[in-house]
Amino acid sequence: MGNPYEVLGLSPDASLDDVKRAYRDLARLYNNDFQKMDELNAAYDAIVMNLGSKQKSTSYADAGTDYSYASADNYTGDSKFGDIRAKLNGGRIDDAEMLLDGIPYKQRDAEWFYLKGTIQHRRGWLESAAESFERAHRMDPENPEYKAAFKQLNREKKGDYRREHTTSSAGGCCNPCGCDGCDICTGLCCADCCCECLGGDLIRCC
Amino acid sequence: MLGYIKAHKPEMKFKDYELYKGVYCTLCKALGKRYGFVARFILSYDFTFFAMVRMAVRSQCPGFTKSHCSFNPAKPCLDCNRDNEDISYTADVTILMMYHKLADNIQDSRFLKRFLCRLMLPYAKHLYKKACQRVGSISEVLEKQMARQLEIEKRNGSLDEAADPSAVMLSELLVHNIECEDIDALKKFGYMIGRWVYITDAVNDCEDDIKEGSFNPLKKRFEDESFTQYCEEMMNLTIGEAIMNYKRLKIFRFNDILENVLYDGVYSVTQKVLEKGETENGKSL
Repeated sequence: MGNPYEVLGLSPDASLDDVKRAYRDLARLYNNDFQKMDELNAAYDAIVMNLGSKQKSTSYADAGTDYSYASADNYTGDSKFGDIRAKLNGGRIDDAEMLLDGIPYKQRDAEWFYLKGTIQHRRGWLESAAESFERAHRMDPENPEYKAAFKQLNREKKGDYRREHTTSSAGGCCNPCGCDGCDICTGLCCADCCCECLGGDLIRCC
Repeated sequence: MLGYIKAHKPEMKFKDYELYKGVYCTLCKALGKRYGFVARFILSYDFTFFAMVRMAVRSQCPGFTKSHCSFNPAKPCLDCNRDNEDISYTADVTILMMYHKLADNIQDSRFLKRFLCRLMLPYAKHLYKKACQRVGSISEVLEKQMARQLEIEKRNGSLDEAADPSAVMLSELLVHNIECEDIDALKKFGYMIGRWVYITDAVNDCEDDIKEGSFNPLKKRFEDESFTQYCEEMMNLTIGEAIMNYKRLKIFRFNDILENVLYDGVYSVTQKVLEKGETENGKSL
């Protein structure tokens, strides 16, 4: 690869904002040309890494790489947002969002909203994330990825955290099999009946 | 923080309650020692939780000794080791937060309350300066986020935006100078707790804010029929995410207490706030 700044058509003293703008414009232009996109991505990454070490950003979202349902780790299918997904996987939230916002309104489909929701979710902006996931799910109800994300947040909205806790503590240390007083009485009654049928008696009084 | 994060006593074991109380007492004493007698009164249970989370993710044990309450010497209580850095750090953070809360009150409220806050301000400022000397780097973070909060309020931001500064603030405070295996999870946990406190406070104050004309991100939905449901969903969503991150953390101690706060304490406060019979905000400012 040549000089990354030349690839983006910039002078070496360009600021981070200039780099972002140039990258976005070019990325939109060469959206379908994979070879060119690879080149652009490599150049952009090289510059941002370099600049990034000078001005370290410490935003909450940058640190995040988690949530299997909200990250695109397992994604293998065709996607026109492949580069955005790659950035998300690398935890580069700000870059991913910048690219995503650069996509014109007409091209914003279910996947766009899903990715937008993922970014919002990583930032902790839960209300907007829930709305974006819902929208993605509505636009493409069959897609399992969108459905999982939508359902997960919906469950949490309903106060799922608590139900989980109460069931786990009820099935905890002292009562692992879910066998309570009633079960024991019923069991004894049955045993008594069986014994009586065979001529014996387990419980004398009944 | 305003006394929303606290334990739910009926679900608590005695041994846990003693420890919980013990950390509270130690904090109270630390505040007294570092900032003088009056500073003790601003302590709330939120900060007890804060200190306990910090102690819980560390591998080394804090250690407790038997001691006595300094207000009522006849009453025994547990005492955390005095030189525990989490305790002293939490005491400093309490002062910082108190000062910002006060400054915020002066901005927001009117007449009597504002006057009272102004009256307290010089003393608070004195304590604040003292705290800044001890944890200077973190006070810069606080100031930056407070400025962001003001800016967002001015342009009437959404709930997500409005909650962001408080949430970032708490997450930064929580991970400051800590050794923890999964720092990212701790950061997110702090973020979500801060967000939850902000939303809960917004729900609690919504009616008053509308009357007084101050900023509240929930205002535009207040007339909606589904307002209560909406608030509950937002609170549940946030605490659900907090718990998810909590589960990723390696907790060395106090797990029962922290779970009690996160599941039962939070739930009872949620119910109380939603019912909106004036909540008792515990011992808060």
